[in-house]
Amino acid sequence: MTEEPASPKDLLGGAGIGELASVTASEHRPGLVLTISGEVDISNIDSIADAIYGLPNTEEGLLIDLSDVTYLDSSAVSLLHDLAMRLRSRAQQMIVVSPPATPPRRILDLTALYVNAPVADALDGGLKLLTGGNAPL
Amino acid sequence: MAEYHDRPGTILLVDDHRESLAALRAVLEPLGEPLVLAESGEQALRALLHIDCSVILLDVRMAGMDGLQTARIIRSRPGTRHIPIIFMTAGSGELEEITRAYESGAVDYVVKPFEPEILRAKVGVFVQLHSERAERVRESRARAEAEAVARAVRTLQILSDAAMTHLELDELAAALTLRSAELFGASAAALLLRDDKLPGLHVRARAGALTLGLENERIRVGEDLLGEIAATLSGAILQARNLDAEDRARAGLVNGLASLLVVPLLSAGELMGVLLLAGERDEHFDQRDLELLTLAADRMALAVDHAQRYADGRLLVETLQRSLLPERLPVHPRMHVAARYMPAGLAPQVGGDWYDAVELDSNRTAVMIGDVVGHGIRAAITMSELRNALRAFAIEGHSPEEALRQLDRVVLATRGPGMVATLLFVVIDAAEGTVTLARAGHPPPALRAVDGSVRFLETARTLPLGVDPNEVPSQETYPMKPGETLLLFTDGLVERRGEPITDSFDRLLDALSEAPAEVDALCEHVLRRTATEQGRDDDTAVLAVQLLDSAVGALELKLPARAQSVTLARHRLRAWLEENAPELDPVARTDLEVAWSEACSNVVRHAYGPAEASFDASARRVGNELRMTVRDTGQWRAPGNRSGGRGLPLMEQLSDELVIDRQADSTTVTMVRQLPSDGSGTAILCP
Repeated sequence: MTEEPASPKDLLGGAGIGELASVTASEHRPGLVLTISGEVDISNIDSIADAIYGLPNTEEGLLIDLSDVTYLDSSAVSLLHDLAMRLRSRAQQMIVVSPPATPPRRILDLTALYVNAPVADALDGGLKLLTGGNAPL
Repeated sequence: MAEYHDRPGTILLVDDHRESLAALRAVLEPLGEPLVLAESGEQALRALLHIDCSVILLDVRMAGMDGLQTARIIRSRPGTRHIPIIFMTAGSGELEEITRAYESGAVDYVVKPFEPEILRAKVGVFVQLHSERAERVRESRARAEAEAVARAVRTLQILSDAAMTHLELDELAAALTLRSAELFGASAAALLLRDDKLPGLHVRARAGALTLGLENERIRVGEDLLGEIAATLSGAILQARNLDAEDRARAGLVNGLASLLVVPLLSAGELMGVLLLAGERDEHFDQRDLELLTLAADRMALAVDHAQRYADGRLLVETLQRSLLPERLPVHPRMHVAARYMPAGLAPQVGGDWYDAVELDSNRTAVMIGDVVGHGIRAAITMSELRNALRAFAIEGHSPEEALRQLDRVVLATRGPGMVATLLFVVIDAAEGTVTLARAGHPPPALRAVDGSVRFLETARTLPLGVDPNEVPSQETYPMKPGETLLLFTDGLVERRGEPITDSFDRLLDALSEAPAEVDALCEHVLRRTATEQGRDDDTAVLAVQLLDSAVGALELKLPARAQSVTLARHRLRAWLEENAPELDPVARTDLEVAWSEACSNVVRHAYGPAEASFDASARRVGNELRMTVRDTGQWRAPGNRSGGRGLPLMEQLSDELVIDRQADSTTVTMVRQLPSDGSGTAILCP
């Protein structure tokens, strides 16, 4: 149903954000997939934000895959919120992937309205949302 | 147009544009929760008086009272303070407006026009949170009710304790029956007990102005109405108007008696008897009375059982003595407490020695020891009264000298002169490292230093309680260091007939000096070393308190106010939790990590200017309570835009209790989380 994504191209070159987390980005037409792993807090949030804001702005939308994030707090929530607001104002969409019943997902659920972006349980579903436009959650 | 529902989970929509309300309603109706629509802030506030609301969607810009004013009023009312408010803003959502929205108590905001699916899913989260919160409130109400019952039971226990002064069974039965009738306002009461020689339960005592009609003064277990109830081994309430004439007579409901409370007396699961209370009104007894009397009946059954089995009352006396001492001593992370009570010789007597220990707050524990002159039930009851009164004074926060002054007044008022009791009251403050004590005619406590040296902590010598109303006790405060042990004792420990008291005190000092460090072993050692071969002439109680090093068990960090410190603090907490709260599941552990990180992040972000600064973070566990504290000494700035104001709501949601204490020169954030007592660390408020 969905077309095969183009072979992933690492746009950030696997930027290690300190020792705590790492961020990689790749193309999945018509969007970008950003994969964060590790722990996200006030100590590395600015580096992560810089990496994300440095991405090419040529795509339809952004998928942020948090499946490998083991810890996040309100600094990450604020970043997601800023990103969602920014993308929305450009008629782009942002989708977050976070598996259910994990600590990061719990924080996302508690702050869901603030982040204001669809959260998919797994990458597959997230990609469908990204490629399928405004599909229901 | 406001529609009032009195159903839980109501969503309140507030917007001064009808079209917006209609649109919101269409979006949220599929959730299946009741919706209430309000066209102004005033209308919303009125509606909130009538509904149990799970979440409020509030338009910021409204004619008249705007959304921010409305929110502030909602936050100021105790009944609505907890309701999450989601602000709806038009257009871009300007930063200043968003900031003000958070200041007025918003949990979130959405920018119009919103995406229907997302809005619906997110509001659903709050509806779910609400139902979980409601469940928690119900539980805490149930707890409060249970406590009310427990209070009543304690009252009843005191009465039944008093009733036990009559060791002879008939007197005991009469007292129990009379006191129960009085306590429950019954017009008639009867206690039926089993008889070894005859089948069935037989009337042993009656009380009340009216008389229950019981055929042959007995109940045949398993037969007729009352016999069937007795056979179930559980209590019941009967209303005469619901019974036919025959059953009414069998239940004894004659002579104008309209309702009956039936409670079995069970000892070790065995039916000892039945207590019947009758009232002249319908519904004279309610379910709570039944529960209360059922609890009391267990105790009565025990007393009856003892009275029946032990003619000399030996076991009863001992049970009474034991029941007047605390069942367990408080567990404190910075103190070890142990106590022993030794009855005198072999006489079946109750002594008047007692001790108690009460945790006052997380740092302070009160310990007390006393001796009522004389033996037997009367001394024991006096001691019970003193103990309860002193416990109350301690919990109310009276200083030792004030508590003793109050107690002296109580003794003089209720007992009159002649009742002599000695008392030592000590408050130990683990944080300050101090011992504050006052005494009334009691030996002073002994303090053993880390090097084994021992000395007595003296105060001005005073008379025993109840002697002289003009006698004013005074208190002294001494330092107490970690590793030091304080020993409180009654004079049975030191008094020996025909021996100078100074010799006895010297023996005690020697015994304490060489006693093992561990408090239980220390008490045993001191008792053994001071006993004579013939046993003791007098009852003896000892209580030992050892102050522990503050580092034991607690996590204490002092870190520079830098972002990297937040990560470090979290990793240290994680390791500490693994060791000190291993039962926590990963989600609950993350809750605590997030709450802790948020508190640390706030300090790093807002507390200090450019200069190098530091903050303190500590975590400790007391029983099933985890307490995390983050303290800085900076001047807080207003939140900047990157923080987004999300930290505080998260801290609130992830802890059971959040207290932010802002002083002129410091800010202390305290977060408390209760661990489930069954040991499973389940998450709270998890949608």
